[in-house]
Amino acid sequence: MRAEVVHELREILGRAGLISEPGRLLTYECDGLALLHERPELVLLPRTTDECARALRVLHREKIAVVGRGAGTGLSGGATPVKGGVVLGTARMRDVLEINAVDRYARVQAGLVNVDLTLAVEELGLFYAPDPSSQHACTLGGNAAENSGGPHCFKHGSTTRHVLGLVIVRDDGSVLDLSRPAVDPVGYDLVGLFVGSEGMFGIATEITVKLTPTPAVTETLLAIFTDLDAACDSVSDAIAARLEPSALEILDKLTIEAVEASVFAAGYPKQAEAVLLIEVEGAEAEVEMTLAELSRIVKQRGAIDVRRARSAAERKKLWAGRKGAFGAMGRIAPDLYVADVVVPRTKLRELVAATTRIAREKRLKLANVFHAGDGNLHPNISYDRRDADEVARVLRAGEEIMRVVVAAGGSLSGEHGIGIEKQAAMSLVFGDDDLRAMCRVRDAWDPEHRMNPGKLIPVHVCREMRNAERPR
Amino acid sequence: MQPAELVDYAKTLDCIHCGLCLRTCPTYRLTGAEPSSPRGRIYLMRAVAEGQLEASDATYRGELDFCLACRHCESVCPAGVRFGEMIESARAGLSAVQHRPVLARLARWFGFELVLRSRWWLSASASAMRFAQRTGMARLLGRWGEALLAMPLVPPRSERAPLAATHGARAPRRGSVAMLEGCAMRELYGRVNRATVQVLTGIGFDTHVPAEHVCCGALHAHNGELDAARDLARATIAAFEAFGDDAIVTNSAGCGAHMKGYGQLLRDDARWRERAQRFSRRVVDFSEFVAAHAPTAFSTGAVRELGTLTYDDPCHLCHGQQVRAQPRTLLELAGARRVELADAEACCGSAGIYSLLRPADSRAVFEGKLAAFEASGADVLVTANPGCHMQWESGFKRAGSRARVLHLAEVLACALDAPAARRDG
Amino acid sequence: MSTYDSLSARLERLAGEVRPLRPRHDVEPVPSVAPRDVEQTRELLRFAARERLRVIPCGLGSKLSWCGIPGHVDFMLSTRRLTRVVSHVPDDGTLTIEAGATMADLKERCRAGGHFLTPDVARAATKTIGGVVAAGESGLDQLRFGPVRHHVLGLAVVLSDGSLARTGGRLVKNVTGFDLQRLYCGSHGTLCTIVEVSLRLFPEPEHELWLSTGVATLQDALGLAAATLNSPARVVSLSIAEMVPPKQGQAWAVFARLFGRRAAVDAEHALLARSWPVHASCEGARAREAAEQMSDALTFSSSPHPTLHVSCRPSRAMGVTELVRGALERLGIERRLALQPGLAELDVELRGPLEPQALAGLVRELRVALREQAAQLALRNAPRAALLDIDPFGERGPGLELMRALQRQLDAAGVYSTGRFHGGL
Repeated sequence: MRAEVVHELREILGRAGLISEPGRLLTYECDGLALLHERPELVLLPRTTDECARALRVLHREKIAVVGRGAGTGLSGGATPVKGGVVLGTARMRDVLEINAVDRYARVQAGLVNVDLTLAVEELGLFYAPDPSSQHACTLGGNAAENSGGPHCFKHGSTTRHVLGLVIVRDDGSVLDLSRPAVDPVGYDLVGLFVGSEGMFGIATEITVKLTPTPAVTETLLAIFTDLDAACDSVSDAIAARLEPSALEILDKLTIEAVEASVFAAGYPKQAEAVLLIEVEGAEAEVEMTLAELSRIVKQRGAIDVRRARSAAERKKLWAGRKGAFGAMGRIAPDLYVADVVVPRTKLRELVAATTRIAREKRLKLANVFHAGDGNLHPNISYDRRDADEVARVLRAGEEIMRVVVAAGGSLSGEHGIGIEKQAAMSLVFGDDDLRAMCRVRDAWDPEHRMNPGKLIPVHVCREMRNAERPR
Repeated sequence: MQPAELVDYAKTLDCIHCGLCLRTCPTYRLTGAEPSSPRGRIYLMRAVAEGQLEASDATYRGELDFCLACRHCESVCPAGVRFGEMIESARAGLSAVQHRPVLARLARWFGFELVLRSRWWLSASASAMRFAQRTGMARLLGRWGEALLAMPLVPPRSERAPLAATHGARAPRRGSVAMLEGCAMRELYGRVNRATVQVLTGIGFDTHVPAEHVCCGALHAHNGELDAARDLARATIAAFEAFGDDAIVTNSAGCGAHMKGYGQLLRDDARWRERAQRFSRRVVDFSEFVAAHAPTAFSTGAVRELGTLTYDDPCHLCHGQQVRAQPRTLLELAGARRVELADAEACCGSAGIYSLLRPADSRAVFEGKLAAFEASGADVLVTANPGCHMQWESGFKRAGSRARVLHLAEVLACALDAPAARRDG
Repeated sequence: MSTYDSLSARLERLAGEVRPLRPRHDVEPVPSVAPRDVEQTRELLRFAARERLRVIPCGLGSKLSWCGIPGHVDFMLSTRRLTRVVSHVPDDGTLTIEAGATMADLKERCRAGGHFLTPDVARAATKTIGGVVAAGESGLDQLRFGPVRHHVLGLAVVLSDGSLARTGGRLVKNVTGFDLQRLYCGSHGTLCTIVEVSLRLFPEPEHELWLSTGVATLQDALGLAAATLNSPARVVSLSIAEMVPPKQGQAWAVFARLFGRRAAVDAEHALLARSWPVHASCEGARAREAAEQMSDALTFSSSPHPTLHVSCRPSRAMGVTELVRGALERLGIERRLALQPGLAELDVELRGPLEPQALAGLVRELRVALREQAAQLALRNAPRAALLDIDPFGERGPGLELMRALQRQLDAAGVYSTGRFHGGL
């Protein structure tokens, strides 16, 4: 990159807002998916929407690619540069701008960490519902870009259901203020369209989100199984019985061992083959009835014990264990590949078993910890990235898992996004016509394909579109 | 040296890049910059070990120096990454390859090899510091002098006198303990040492203080002087072996965390490994020891007169030693009016000699703490580490605050037999 | 042969069933063709693109008059004959169905599978799922379940080049690809023809309760609503209707719908009884009928009269309602007025007398006044003369340029770009 451009950007952002030393840039070469990496040419860390817009105007003029980044906890390579360019991070934009307890919304800067919002509003009897396992690190901007989920999204829905408004800086540095007053969009639902666009439509700098009242009663059960299949079947049964807990999470033996060895040890019994973590919230009568029915179902499916958290502290501990599970896997091997497929909830047992089989065939160590209630599986494969053969086997296993799941009516991602990781696999789920529609929508937002290029849409479709539009 | 020897490579592999450490890291909070986070620093260490980054890279050293080594990241790391040990090894590796300017080398030599290794030099430096502070001559010393002036005044020689070797139990005898007098604690907070003795003897323990012991080597280790740290560790072990299996009580969180890690520090030293492990097992923080032998005879009225108290967890106590409940429990037992400090486990920016080396960063980290203290409505900040003690005192002074800082031992001494803490109030 | 007849004949050859239909209640009829399957739908669009024709897709046409005056329209494309059930997996709680199925049929099907279908729209027999999604029409149950766009798991649409493009899927959680269903939902047929819809279903309630009461003032009604909304009882819908003329001094009626497990509903009822004054209630099937009747009565979406649809924030509901009522009082307009306090939506059916110019003036005046309340106003079912310089959907906002670009990209042939949507899209 030309020195004058770097200088110009530094003038806009100040010294603290720009990282250009090769050594420091190295740390931006990947996000939570360490398998794939490429060093950016520059990292920009604006403080305000205005700084962000002015910087993007320069990059637009210079035709430089821009990769958005929150806290870099994503698991599909969404914040990893593919074709060089600039990483634009929101980590310094973390102010809470407005909290309205009566109308139950908050307006925040995009770099605010997810859990900090809940901490800021809990005294008002409110919380921010989407709770990715990385909620102590990930930003609301990143959540919006990826349409993140989390255990409690089973009841409350993914991020998209909680984003009310956005301020977006477009590819050309123009600011699109969609922090609108009321609930229903006027015209096309641009906010809904933006959420989950993986940084390819622009950079969200401000977000207005819905706040949810803290439920009157919350109860947590831990059902202990000597068999993973039985745990899966009890979730399928619970869904079939039309029960509505707020979270249904399964952890298998290997995960339990890793968690129990960590600072987040939650008291999951180590001899269990699987535990099912259940949370039910609402009014007391409803909660008690649901708990009774769930207890009956898990026992029928062979749970050897059902424990009920006796205090808020105990409940917190059970959840901290679940949310620390990904990191705790660091104990098993240096690197971890987290798959993120969704399956129909009638087929949990067979597809969980299929992932186990695939890993076994590839001589890989697999742990399962997943949002069972949503059918969102997370087969976690441990590996060592210094072992090239093992890396290759991991990638093959990942692809095979996707194939099996898609064949059974499932999909590629429940909450981590497509990014680079599943870009090629998009063609398993979508035909070229489907993908072309996505391409066109992206062209409306970013005609030069400078925003997070090389992600999500398979290369052959992009290229085809380009060729078709070239004047003959 | 091979690149892989410049850092603790094996430990860097424990990091799975999940990012859960980011939000707790004081330097990431200040900058929002990935390389200034634990995950980023580990990434850099790994890059050095794998030969992708030169250890002499200025930004690498910059990021290692910027770290406060508060170890907050360890408390939230699901993978159990031992960042404190890693940053020490990386800094040691850096010392091996780095050519520091002559003046900096001289200063380090003076500090680490002279002052912190001899009681005479230590005491003489304290006197010199007091002189420079009182006469204003510190102004001639530039940046260092400013830091010196920002510090609380070094007490007069009379208050810095070493403790007697033995103090008999002042209550029905329950046993005996050995106490670490420390270097900074003795020179700057002799009153805390005396309060500690008062509490230990007051709850029925004969208290022994090894004469001529200087320093446990924690500051050396934190700053990458691992060889010196090992020397001092051996000397410390030897000094305390005279007291059989008595618990080794320290009122300094930084020293406690470091001494509990002697086993790890001397793991490659066949002659000392086992002695070190035995030693480490004996080390307890003052609050741990007192809570385990909790007295029933606190007279709670005196403590209430101190005003509203709030406890700030020293990093090396909560993150380094997992001691969180005991100080709070003891304050309750002593009848304190106590409020919780928001984000009490966040670093105050003292971080050993960090506050002297990087005063601006140290103050920036402190700002958030001060705001939390002001929001708490407390009159007194209770700590359990000399570095934090100093940081809060100079912070309050700078902010023109009337709030006081007390060590937990001072509060307990006050509860046990009144006057100690109120005397200098 | 007239143009109408010749086009009819060609359409008939392509898809069988053609009959006249008005693109709006006050626009001349054009041929309306109802293809038998998705393949015929695609054929029709390829034909339209080839011949450069303009098409309005619809279901049963109940919400065509929400839109503005279209430019030239060649034919209507009704999906009412596309009613195939693609996949219904009750035990997974998902349903995928072609767009022409009526909401009434779907409701029955879902109930048979043990599920409740949201949106629970008024006059369900006159609406197709495709039309409901295209118009983004939610029911009063939006209070509990959220708007319809939250429950559309996936869509298959036919673009103007005849291509069949899918988005989303049939799974309750899915982030595979851009969320184009959110773009298509509420796009009123100006981007595509929706041919297939996947929905998330909710458990059929075991028990249902309907509460109604009357209060003297709007303030009383909103107070009651606030107490209800802030209680742990999770009402499914909560509505306030103005009674003109007042009955026994009660000018406002308040209705609430509860459902779920019997014991839970009873507990919620007991809870609400504390804040609700004397009220009538019915349960079970009768409650469901009452809810349906009131939904039909309080939703003016397909009214022959112009209606105002105002949405704001809950805290502004009082001010907004007073503002709108005040304006209508001044003009002496007969009206029906219903408020959804939890959603902060106000619907007013203007029963006259009101000339189109006066209506336009009223809307202009209200929009200016509502700006301060951060509210927005849509004008539905208005006569064309009132729409000469009024955008029926609301004031133009900052996203319009981007919306135009989206339409240009997805509807390059201009088939769906009939100018009747917001901003002339």
